[in-house]
Amino acid sequence: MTASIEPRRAVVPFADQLADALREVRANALASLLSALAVTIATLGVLLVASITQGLGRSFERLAFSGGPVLTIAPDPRPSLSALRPTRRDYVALRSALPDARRVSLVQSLGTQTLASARATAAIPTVTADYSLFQTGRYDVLAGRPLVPSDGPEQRRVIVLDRAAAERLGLDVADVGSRIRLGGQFVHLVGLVKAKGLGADSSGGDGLAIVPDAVVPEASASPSAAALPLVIEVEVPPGADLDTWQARIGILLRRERNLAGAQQAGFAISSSERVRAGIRSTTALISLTATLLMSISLVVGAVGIVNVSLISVRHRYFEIGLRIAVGATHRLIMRQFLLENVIVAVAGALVAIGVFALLAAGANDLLGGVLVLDASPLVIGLAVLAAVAVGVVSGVAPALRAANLDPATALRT
Amino acid sequence: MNLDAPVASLRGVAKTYATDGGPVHALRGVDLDIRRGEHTAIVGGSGSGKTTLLSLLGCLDRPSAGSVAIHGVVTSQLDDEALASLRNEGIGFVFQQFHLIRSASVAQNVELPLYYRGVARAERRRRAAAALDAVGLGDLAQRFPQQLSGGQQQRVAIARAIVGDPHLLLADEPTGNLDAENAALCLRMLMADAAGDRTLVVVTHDLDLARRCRRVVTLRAGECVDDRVD
Repeated sequence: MTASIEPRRAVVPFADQLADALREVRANALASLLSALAVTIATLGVLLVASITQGLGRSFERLAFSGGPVLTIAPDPRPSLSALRPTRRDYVALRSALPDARRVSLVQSLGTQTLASARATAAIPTVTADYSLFQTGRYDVLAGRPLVPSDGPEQRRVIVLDRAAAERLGLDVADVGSRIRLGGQFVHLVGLVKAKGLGADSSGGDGLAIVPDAVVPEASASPSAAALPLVIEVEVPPGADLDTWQARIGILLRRERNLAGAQQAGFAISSSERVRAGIRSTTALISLTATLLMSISLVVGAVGIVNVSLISVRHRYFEIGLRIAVGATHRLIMRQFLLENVIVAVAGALVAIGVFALLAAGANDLLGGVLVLDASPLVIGLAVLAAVAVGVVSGVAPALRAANLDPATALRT
Repeated sequence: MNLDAPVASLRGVAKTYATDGGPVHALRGVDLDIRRGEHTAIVGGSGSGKTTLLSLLGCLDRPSAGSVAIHGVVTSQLDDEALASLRNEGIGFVFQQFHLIRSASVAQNVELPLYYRGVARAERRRRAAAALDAVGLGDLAQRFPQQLSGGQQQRVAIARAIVGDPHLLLADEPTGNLDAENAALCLRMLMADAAGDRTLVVVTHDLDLARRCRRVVTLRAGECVDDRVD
């Protein structure tokens, strides 16, 4: 028999407590499963929202920040100003008047044109542009080449298709070099491209055909073609003052039109910096909304765990009473319940990561790279950390209830 | 701590529970000394305060008034850690409902007091096996409580109560849920274990069990009305 019963502080090795907690998690399978499910849903919510926000941010960056600062001269949509809209003459004038610009590009919609390959015929949105369109970093070349500087001056009858347009014409990379009929003329397919970023499918899924200036179908060469929207882009040197450039271009175009100071022009000049600022504020708004959604997701998970844990504690009154009777301190009881919650939270978070990986793979296949769902290790780490924090925080109330149980009462239940 | 002092000493102990129907006085001014090696039966009708008295002796509850001293140390002066240590090292419990953890094996149930004492796993296993051997269940160590009969479960509970070698063994209606044969068996084990200088306090309705104890304390309406030593 013990010689002395001097009270001393009980020290239970952590490994033993962990084993005990694991056994109890298994023994209370239903409660553990429900709590883990709450954590899985909360963590999955965090991962999805975080990765969608990240993906959107990256897509916006690609869309907005390819190339240097850009001023876009687009037509004013008001019918009363249609006669003053940007023209090819403006494009030529800007090219000669702005030798210090890094690039002056023209993109004019030719509307939907009928294209025919050896395999299929399809109506495909078509634009005429010069080589500089491909210097903006908006396109990846999948096969062949993009438009080059000599295509225009040498009046080459060539065409570049994006992937969707090629598919509609039954063509693939092996068909680069083949002939395509555009209106009443044949053009050579010199390249297949893929647009990047959110604007990847701006044609609405119908694809896009790009031809140099020399290739203007008969239908588009008619006087009505002048009504087709034309956009001029001016890429300015890095660090240049966009306001000064914008004023320069405005003065030049107004002079071309003999417009007095107060007269309205048929064009609008927008700056990529404004777009950039707009995107920044939109991204910030999305991030804020995402954070709010993530917080709600975590709170919902936490409420689920608290609820299940409280019920679980109630079902384990006698066990808690017994543990106290045989020597458990309130501290050890509390630690055990917290440990059980952390185990469940970590398990739930790991399941969430697995489910997220599957969902992301499926979604990325489906979206074809338009929006990439990809959580960085940091995001995954933070999500797991958040899940564990939820497990601990939401476990505090049930653990306190367990630790503060009156053992005599608990043993009578 | 004074080992020559009574194992347990109650002075003017009262316990009142607050209930929806008003206060319930479970114990009223009980004075009682439990001496080392003594076998004491506490008897009385339902609601006489027997189980409350046992809870106070086991440091599972605190009195509303008066003092409870274990080996001369007044328990109200001890904090949670010290009380837990006192329960763990000095007191063994046997309950009417056995109170075995269903998710734990027989051996793990018996090891529980040693687990909270911080005893290494191998040593726990060895001592639990010895305790199970002492109650004749050495070959059932890896079974689970629900795989055992009521009598076997109570023997496991006895093994758990004695595995930590406590000074004081407290049993609350230990034979209340057992048939006559198992009740006799468990009683023999309790008495045999407490044959040395281990102190045994049994709360019981069973007069046969009470007669086997040298001292019988009778409670009525929370008061000690008889204290007889043979």
